[in-house]
Amino acid sequence: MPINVKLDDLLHARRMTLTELADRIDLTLANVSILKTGKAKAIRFSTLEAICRELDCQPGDVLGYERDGAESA
Amino acid sequence: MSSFRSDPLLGLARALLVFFMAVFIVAAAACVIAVPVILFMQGDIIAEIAKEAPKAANAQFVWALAGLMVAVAALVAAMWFFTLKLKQIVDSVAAGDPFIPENAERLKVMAWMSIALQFIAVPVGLFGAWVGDKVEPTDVDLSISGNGLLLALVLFILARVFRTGAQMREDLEGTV
Repeated sequence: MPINVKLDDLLHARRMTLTELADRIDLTLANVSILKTGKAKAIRFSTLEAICRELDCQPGDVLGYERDGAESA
Repeated sequence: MSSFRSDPLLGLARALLVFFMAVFIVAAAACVIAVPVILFMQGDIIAEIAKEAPKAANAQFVWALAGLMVAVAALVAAMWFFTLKLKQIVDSVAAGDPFIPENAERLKVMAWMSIALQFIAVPVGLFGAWVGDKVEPTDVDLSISGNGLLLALVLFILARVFRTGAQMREDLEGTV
């Protein structure tokens, strides 16, 4: 998918674990993991808002877009 | 997880459907077994009928009786299949997961089956009327049931509702 989720980098920069984020945004670890691995089909605005609030970032910091052809192996 | 215990309606529906399915199997088996028996024992049957209704004591009547058994077996088999599909839907509701594409397909099959039942009922009515008339003059209604066609329409619409529901659920499943 051309949309990539940059949750890993953000968590690393903020020294926060996935479990901790899941607790803070009131989502199950399984769902946050689905989001992190790019397997989610859609994201709710409420989820995005909670992530941005907890990680103190903008939606653009969480999500990125790459053209299909530009994807590197 | 099954919710038959927590939902008495589901439990009752399932029990009734299982009971009907068993009755249909017995009825269809009886009809299928009756066909060769009727044909094999033609002489005895004709002799027995001659005592009660002399007008009906001929080979034609026995063949019509066998035809009636075949038509009834087909009707009962179609009803069993319809009930099976309904039971599968009830099971999926009890499992807490009714909005699946399989249920939309089941409802569509049930809709076609309810139309097919109307047509299978025609030879049953024809044979039944002919056989009945020989024994005792009777009036038989051979018209197509409006309720049956209405049921088919409702089932077709429900199939669409379930297909849309299944798609919506699929979308929701991947949403975090």
